[in-house]
Amino acid sequence: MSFCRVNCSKGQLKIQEMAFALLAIIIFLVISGLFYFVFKASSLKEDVGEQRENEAREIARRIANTPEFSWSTSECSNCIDLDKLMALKDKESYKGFWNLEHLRIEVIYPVKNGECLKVNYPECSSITLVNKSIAPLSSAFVSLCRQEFKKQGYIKCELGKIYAGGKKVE
Amino acid sequence: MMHKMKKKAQEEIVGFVAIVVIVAVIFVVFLGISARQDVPELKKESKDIRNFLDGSMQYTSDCALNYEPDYSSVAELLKACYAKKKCINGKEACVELNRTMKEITETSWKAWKDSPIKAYKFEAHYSLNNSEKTTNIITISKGECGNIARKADNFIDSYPGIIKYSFQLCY
Repeated sequence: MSFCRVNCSKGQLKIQEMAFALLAIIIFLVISGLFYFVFKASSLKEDVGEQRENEAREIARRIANTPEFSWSTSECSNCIDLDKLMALKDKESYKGFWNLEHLRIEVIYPVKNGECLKVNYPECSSITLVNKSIAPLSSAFVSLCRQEFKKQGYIKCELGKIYAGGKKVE
Repeated sequence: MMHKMKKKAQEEIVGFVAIVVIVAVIFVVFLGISARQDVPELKKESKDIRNFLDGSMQYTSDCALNYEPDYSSVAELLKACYAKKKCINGKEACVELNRTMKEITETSWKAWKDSPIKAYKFEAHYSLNNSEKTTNIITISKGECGNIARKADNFIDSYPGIIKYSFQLCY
């Protein structure tokens, strides 16, 4: 405090010290606040991403339980009827019904390949109902059941996944 | 005079150290709270595993216990394995269960090849109601399951007890 060396009283010096201390505390708080907001902003981005994923997962779960998808038996509440989906696949009246950018059902086990068409069903792996764009997809494991006509006919359930994607939020 | 200045400097150092310690404590508390908030995120992921388990249990195996084509689901195979039953084709229910679950798990694993998951474990136990004594039916595992990342379990009725099954992914 060179400017105070001659004229300043002890009280003024104390006040200056206090002012500097307050200034230091304020700077410290501001820097801490900045760090906090940067940290919070990055975690907020993660939260938004997670929220979107949860919503999509919920969409997938809800779609699996709609009458158009569900396997009509009380024994399996989360099963999807593959035969219904094949019937829905080419229905013009259902175009735009789901309000999604992407909706696909894929057989995980047993391993099969190719998009399902009337000629290769059920020896195929995926049924794509909506394919407007490659949106961020969310998936959920589901049971895919269908009528098997081999050996006098029986109900065959396989393990699959439902992929759903909504519009990308910027 | 010199002694007074030295004492004042010591006080300043003590004050500075005190502030550093307080800030460090606040930082550690903040980190602790953040780390605690991360735990439910791991638990939340177990919904996927639960869906996987439910889907697997519904899978129709190649084993018919009574007549063909009345093929059993994996859930029915669990009960049949505990009862040491055989399929119509002569194979043991437990062998068929082991093969089917292993293939289902291995195939589903490929879906997570980009994830950091290093190991998995599927197990099923039979237990009588209100009893802590359990009998192992099947255990399928791959890799070293150190830290449990995600886990889900469920049960099916198998009179007079229940069969509890669980699946866990580790990394």
